[in-house]
Amino acid sequence: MIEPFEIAVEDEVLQDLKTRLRQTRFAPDFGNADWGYGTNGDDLRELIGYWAEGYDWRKHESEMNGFAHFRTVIDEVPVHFIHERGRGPKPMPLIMTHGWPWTFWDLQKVIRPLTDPAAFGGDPSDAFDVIVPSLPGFGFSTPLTATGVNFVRTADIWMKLMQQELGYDKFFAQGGDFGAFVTAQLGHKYADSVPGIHIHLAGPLGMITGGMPDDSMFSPDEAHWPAANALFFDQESAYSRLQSTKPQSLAYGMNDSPAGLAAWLLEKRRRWSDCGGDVARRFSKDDLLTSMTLYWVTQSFGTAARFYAEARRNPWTASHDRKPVVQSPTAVLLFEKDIVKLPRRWAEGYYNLKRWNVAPVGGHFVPMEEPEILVNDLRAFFRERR
Amino acid sequence: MVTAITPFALHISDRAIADLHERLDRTRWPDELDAEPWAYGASLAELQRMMQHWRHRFDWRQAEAGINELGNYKASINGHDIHFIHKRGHGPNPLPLLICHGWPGSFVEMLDIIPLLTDPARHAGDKADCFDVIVPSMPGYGFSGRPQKPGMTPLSMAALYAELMASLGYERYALQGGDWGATVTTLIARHWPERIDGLHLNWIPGSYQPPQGNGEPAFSAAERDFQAAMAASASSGSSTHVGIHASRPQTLGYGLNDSPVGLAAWLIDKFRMIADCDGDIESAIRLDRLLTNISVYWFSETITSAIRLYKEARAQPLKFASGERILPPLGFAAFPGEVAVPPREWVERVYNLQSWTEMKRGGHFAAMEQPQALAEDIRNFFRILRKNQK
Repeated sequence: MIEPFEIAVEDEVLQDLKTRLRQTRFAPDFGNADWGYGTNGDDLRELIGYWAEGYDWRKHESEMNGFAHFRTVIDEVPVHFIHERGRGPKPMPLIMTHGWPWTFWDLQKVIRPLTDPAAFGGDPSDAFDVIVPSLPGFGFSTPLTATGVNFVRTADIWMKLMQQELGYDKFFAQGGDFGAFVTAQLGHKYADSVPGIHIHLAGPLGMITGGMPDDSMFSPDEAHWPAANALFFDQESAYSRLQSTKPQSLAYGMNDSPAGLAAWLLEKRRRWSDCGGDVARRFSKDDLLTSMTLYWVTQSFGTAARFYAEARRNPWTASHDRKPVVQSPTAVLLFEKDIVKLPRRWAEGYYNLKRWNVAPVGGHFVPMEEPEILVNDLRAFFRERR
Repeated sequence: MVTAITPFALHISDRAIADLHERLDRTRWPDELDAEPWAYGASLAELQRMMQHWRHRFDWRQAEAGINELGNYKASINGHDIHFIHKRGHGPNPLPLLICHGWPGSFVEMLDIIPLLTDPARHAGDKADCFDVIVPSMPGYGFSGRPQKPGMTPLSMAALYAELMASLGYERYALQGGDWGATVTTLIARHWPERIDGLHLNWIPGSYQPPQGNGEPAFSAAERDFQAAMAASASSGSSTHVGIHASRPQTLGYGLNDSPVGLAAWLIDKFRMIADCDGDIESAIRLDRLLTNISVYWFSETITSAIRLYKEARAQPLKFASGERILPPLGFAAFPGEVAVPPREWVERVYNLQSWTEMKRGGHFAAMEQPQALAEDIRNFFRILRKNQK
């Protein structure tokens, strides 16, 4: 049962947030100008100061409400989504799935160019009906009270959302980060209904439970990727091991301390984006805080972090043994500064690969960092598959 | 250089206690999920019960008075403030014993065992077995100062402690430790062996790497099994805290320093996982003692400086060159609930192992879980050494 939904955070929640921010007991920091120990204390204090005294949630809330939001419950899991109809002769439905530590709002810049290309200098025949859900346990797809909801079950839920609830027999899918796993799973299990997928993070569906392509598969152009991948796994992936095993032990602090939550999320925005250590080059303070406020007001840090644990506890298994594993025609668009990049040769064997591009700029948060590159690549790929 | 040693009386302000209570009262709890308790980390219901106790029944002032009875001091050593307990032994010839704590513990780990060692006659022992006990707070922990620049490694701590002991007039002394305390005491024994009568450990440091090749004997099947068990524990939930502590500790620290419940969840989950308690932490360590330890982290605002030790230490694993040995005699108490107990031959590759006791009960927090049994093993080991010296 789909119901329209308007975002309206209670005043008292915002007031409580402000009070907590003002009473933050900042952990002392030193010798950390390069963020080597993690989030820098001065930078965090500045952000928290603005969150408490300058940031205006209502302004961003009203921008969010400029889109059409809905909520429903599928397989006992609450699902929030934006559903915007396309303007053009024959809009194709496209479901776009975000990742961690994103929210649905990371897609804010690409929704309108995709629904209404003509308004953005594009061709109306490229229009899509765009569906942007919040992952289970993220944002307004809360409260999640069931365990076991991993990216595989999310793909099943998305199928029901698209076919049974919204009446789209066939649809395209797009995603990055965990959204790329949901999307690839749609292309694996439901290829008959999904005539094309577009992802900006490539990786085997069983990646979290083991199995990465051999280094020998990287081409000369990609020769610097294995070392970058290894550096990421060595220095930046402890959060993932933690969230895969003990997310709840972390959640108590993050759900009780907005500054603690901000520190956790800010580090990822800075480390994983193509910002050269200056997060402001990719995200305004308002961008950062709107995302953090979404995690805070929906109390979703814990269930979002659990998405890792669910992936680890419920290993992916193949729905069929056909090759390639992902049967839907696939476009992969990688970004040089993203956190993990796998070789084209591997992707050619794993996906029904029809398009492969590597953007020289841009990091992990593609729809926020490089929305135009993403939109153009999407349109070009799906144009051939309509 | 030690510039001053002054008595120290612990007194947390009423305001800090009121602030803690206020924060506990307005805790914003995360959702409960339909899952087996503790499966994803600290159980909501269990944690809520313990936090009720912290807020309404735990008496910090009583804990504080108990700490103050033991004799606390601060020393300024090479610009670092070191807090320590110094309790003289009751007996004819007390042996000085430096006991080093670890994480997620603090000097609080040792509160129960101190009287058993300083005054054995009053605790089912012999006064000839008495010790002068010195229990420092590691720099960045408890009431020692927080380091103000990077690089406070276990070896830096070992050097500070060696100076502390010298300044207290102890030319020779004994050592005891578990967890990080095992690393620090091992380093003291390694670098200043001529000062050390003996070393008693209840944990072999995780970073310990005995030499290989160059005529060193090949690893036994038991040693290979042990290495595999340690590697498996590193990728399971029981040591994922190490990864985050050793890479981005500061990122984690902000939430834990701002939310007492966040801090408690992080610490209690760890205690429960590696104590010998079958999932019931209070069967191994009484709640008031756990909360005293957590309160020390909270009031001293040291969780971040404490976990940064993992990153500092990462650059200095306990690696030994071929032929290198730690000379002072070692007594080892093997607790059955420990994360992993190494085979003797693994320990003997570097340590001068003289005594090995299979303990009946107890896990990683031996001094808190089994103070009597640990004290007896310490007394027994050093009794033999005292005899040999006569």
